[in-house]
Amino acid sequence: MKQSSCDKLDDYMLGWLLPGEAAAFERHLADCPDCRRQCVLQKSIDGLLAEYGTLSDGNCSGLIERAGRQARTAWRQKAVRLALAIAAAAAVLTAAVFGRFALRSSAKPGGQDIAAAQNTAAESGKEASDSIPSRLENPQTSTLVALADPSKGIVLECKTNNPNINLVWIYPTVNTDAMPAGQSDE
Amino acid sequence: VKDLFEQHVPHLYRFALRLTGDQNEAEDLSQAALLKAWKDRSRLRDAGAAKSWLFAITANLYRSGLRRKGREERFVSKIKNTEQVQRRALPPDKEIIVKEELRRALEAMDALPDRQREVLYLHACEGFSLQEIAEILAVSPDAVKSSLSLARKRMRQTLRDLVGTEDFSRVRETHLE
Repeated sequence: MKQSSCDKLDDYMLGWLLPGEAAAFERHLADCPDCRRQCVLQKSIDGLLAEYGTLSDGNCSGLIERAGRQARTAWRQKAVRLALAIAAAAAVLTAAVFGRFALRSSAKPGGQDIAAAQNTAAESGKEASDSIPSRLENPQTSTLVALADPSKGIVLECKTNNPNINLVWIYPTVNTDAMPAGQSDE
Repeated sequence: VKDLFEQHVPHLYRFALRLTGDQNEAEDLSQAALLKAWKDRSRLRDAGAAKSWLFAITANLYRSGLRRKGREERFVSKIKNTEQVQRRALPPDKEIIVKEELRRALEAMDALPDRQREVLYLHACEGFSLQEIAEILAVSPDAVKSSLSLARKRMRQTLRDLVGTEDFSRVRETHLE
């Protein structure tokens, strides 16, 4: 019984006992010198620790400023990273838009048709003189030329948006016998 | 918000010092806690709860920092525990006049297991209630109660000669009156 009462010292001092229990412990305290001594000791310890809690520490005076600087630095780094990401995204978007525009503009005068004709000719293996002129929007630009060697070819002039740039596609012909007579010297 | 934080900084730093046992680590920890608190300041709705909120952030950061450290490092720190207790017990500012009794009390507190030390510090030095301590340390109020009782008993065992016979007689008289 005495042992269990002594164990209630902290509960009593911390105010965790019910009124009846507290009264009982006070009666026990009057008869128990060890509990009284523990009680006094605990009060001294509590007083010391509470005193420590009120001391001011000089070391922490600049903590707020340092934390503020750190926050600003972190914010700047984040802003720079965000700006770089936006710039990169804008560059990619611009390149995509200009690339698409350039493709569209180069396709207008017949360049796309020429490329398609080239692919078709290469795949089908047909003679270029038969397949290409029929696919061109501007067939009058095709002419037959004699190359340095005995073979012949078809010259296609491609229009571009830039007046300073002239594109000429040359398709070597395969069957020279199919050439119209009189044009082999052109 | 800055003013609100500023008034709690000394308490925060001392708590960090008791947790880490090292002045540099305590500065880093409290600085990190302030930074996180500043970032999450919109979550603080009751200015009256700012102190316990800051302490909870500090305790969380300390625990997550401990988790990051490997077992090996923790083992090494256990070996160095005695040195740490000595360093932790020293006041961070040399200008502070620390009584011999206070130094001994702090040493005894720092020798306690982590949870008991945290609970005792928050209760005895910072005056937090059981409920507040439970929220700060993310444990149940019953666990806080149990840790606090154990911590107080161990402190009395360690510091049993703190109060002299004269003091005891004097205080006993006043207590029994």
